[in-house]
Amino acid sequence: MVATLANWLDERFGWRKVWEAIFLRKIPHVNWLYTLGSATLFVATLQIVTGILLTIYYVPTPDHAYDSVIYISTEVLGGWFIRGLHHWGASAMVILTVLHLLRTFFYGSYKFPREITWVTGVFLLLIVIGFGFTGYLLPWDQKSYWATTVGTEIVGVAPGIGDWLLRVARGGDELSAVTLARFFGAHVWVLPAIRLTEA
Amino acid sequence: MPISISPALAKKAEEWVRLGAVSKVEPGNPTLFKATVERQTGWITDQEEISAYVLTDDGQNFVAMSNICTHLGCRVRWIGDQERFFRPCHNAVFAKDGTVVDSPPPRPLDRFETKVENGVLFIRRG
Repeated sequence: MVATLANWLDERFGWRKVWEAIFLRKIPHVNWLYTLGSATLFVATLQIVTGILLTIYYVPTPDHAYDSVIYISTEVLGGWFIRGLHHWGASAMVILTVLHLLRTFFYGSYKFPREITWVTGVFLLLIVIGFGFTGYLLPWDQKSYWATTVGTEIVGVAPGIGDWLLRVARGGDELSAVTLARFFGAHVWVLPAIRLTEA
Repeated sequence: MPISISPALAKKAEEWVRLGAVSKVEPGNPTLFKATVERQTGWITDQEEISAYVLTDDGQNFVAMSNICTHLGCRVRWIGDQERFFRPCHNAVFAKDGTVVDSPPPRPLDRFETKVENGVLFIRRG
């Protein structure tokens, strides 16, 4: 019964070829370091799911951001768990992506014919850092406020256009409601969209 | 996902709300009382005005009715000349005691539990 259905679907979608290409491909000298890539993919999926759930309650305005985050952690059923996964998952993303990059570098896996994979990977790392940087501000507590003050100040020391870049990053001269709103927009719309177009 | 249905599982707040002096109720005429209550929704605490029509025949026993129509939640209004509650939506009409005169409402106006303490009327919200 199951086999009949699997065959029926394979005749129409050719899924077995895809399955074989992804999961049954033989790699010489496999070790645990080769799981870093799929570990990254797993945590990324976790971040998407928990992030979507958090937006059900989170509000990106100075009036309500902090209160809504506290509400998630203390009132929402299982909210502390979802937020915890998203919080620690963010750190895990950065660590796993960097380890995966190091593995690729030291095993020489970036060489022909995989140069493009390396370039895409570097962009993905930048996107992960962008997610981390924008997401860090969203709880709107003292730590996130000052971390973003410092982080955007760094943008400001770029020669020539630094001042202008700083104002673009903050949406003004100071950290404000505009900053919080644009960081939220970048975190949940812009970066996911770039991420989708890239891979 | 439990996280998304969480607010629906919260217990409703129940409390006695002070309406005002019982002497303000005109016997035989539904009298509108308004009270401000504190309301907690999510992470926001707000003031909310609730209204009740209070009816008494003898000045001893009180009936407090919600002004929220039992059909789809519009507010009803007592029109003294016609001795009826009218509602702007769907042309519903309720009698003085809250019974349905003209459909579509499925049941009479909801009643609050009442109590009187030192000449002050309270209703139970919840």
